[in-house]
Amino acid sequence: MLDVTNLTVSYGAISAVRNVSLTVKAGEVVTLIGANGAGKTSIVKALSGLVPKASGATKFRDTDISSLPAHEITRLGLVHVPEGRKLVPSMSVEENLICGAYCRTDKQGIADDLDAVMARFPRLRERRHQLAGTMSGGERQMLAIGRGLMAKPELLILDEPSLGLAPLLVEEVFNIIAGLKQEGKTILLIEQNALEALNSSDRAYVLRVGEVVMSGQSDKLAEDPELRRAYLGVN
Amino acid sequence: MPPDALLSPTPHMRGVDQMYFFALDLTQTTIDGLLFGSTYALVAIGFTLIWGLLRILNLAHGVTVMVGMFAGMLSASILGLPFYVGILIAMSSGAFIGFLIDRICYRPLRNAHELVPMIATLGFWILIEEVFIKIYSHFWFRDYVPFANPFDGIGIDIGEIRLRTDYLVTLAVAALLVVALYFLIYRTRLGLAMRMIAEDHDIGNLMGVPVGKVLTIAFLLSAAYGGAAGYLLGMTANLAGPYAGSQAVVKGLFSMILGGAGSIPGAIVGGLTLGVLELQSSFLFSFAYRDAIVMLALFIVLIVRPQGLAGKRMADRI
Ligand SMILES: Nc1ncnc2c1ncn2[C@@H]1O[C@H](COP(=O)(O)OP(=O)(O)OP(=O)(O)O)[C@@H](O)[C@H]1O
Ligand SMILES: [Mg+2]
Repeated sequence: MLDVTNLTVSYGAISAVRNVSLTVKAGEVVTLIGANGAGKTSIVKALSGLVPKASGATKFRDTDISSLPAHEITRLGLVHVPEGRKLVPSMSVEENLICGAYCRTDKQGIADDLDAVMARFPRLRERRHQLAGTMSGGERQMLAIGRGLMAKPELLILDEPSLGLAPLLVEEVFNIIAGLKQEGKTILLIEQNALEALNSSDRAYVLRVGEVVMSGQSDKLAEDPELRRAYLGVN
Repeated sequence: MPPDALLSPTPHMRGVDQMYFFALDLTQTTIDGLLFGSTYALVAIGFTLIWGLLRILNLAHGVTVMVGMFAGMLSASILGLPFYVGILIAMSSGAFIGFLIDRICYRPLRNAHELVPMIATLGFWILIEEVFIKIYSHFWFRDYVPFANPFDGIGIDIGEIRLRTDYLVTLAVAALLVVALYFLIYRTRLGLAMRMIAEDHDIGNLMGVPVGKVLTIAFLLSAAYGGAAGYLLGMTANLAGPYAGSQAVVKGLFSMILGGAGSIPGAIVGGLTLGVLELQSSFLFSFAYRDAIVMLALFIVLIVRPQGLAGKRMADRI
């Protein structure tokens, strides 16, 4: 579904991502793990077109998206739920969800999906008229994921969905991801919480200062002694 | 109860009459200020839209006012077209300038530091105004040319208060444009996109909004409103002058800051307040001190309420 070859992302003179290649197949949950500043966010921002790709080829569902503008990439079904959520605080919960469906024109489909998202996150239904800016961190994260789902994603990219959440809510977020996986959604997940991320994904890429240093089946990687020492903080 | 001033028998009564007429004039001036201030509100809305979406002070906005005014003058005074046609022509001419501002000052420079497009709008303003003055002085040898005002001299009398028809028309047009803008922003898909972009361009990008196109539309819209303001300013003054753009920049920015930079209600409140302040300071003091008094008022407002009269948190900018 997604094929990235030799992706490089530079901010001025610094290159934050160097020659990264990765693939995501339909129905897979793939996770990117790595320390702070490893370049995870930069990779997905480049994929969704928020930052330019210095070099490399990116194919999404047989379309070359290497130089497409961000809004057209979204329209192809590559939906990026960004780090920090990026909601519109002055809009209500419901309006934020409608923003997610901006590209769609099927009124009935949008209404059905709005219902489905609110069924998935009952808290959003309760608060549908509340301003997003006054929601709690956990509620906002649910709203951000819900908004992503409203776009009818072919590939959903979640950048640190559990960031800043209490342990119970982190659990909740991983349950949501497991649920989406069960429904056959394709997900590219970025997580600080590496062990959990490996447990809930099929495959993983491990990044270190802008390069992929390890990749493979998540369950295998979770057993890897070097990885466990370096990234999971367990022996 | 209009007292018969001239026949008042006692000095005491004459004092009361003076009070009465003073209060009457004060009311008349306030009403005129509110009606006329709606033109300033329109100019300020143009600034606010671009500021809200781009955090750029579009200093070229005055050009849209000037062009709208002259397009209006040509259609009203030379071609003799009716008001509603003239105002549409003024708005389209303004919008054309907005298109140029987008293409010349914003698009090529959008990735530069935000001061860069602003400086470009400053350059555009100066360049166009200079060129325009050259052309203007070639055709006309006066500071102003007459702007045919179909509503000149007519009005509605309510008791002893006179509502000038041209002011009423001005308010009506401004109100219609404000309502249309609110409808656009809060009831349409384009408005939804604008509200996303006002928060963060990346939100628009991620939701699939063609951000560049929406911004072009915003430039057209803000400039069309500037063009309408130009027509109304020219019509109510019965004059069109080549410095109208510069004056509009000052008044528009003033209204925007007075009301609360960045919010549409702020632009409206600021514009109407400026209208009243100007006319009242001319009436109570003197025309010569008008701008100084208005400036002093702005100073005081900003000390007491730094967010402006109707300013809100920065988050709800448009
Ligand atoms: N806009 C930018 N300008 C300059 N440097 C940047 C920019 N964005 C990111 N960087 C740098 O690129 C590197 C990778 O950043 P990135 O945000 O991709 O890391 P990350 O893996 O997502 O980290 P985290 O886990 O903390 O979110 C960092 O060194 C960062 O400082
Ligand atoms: Mg990150």
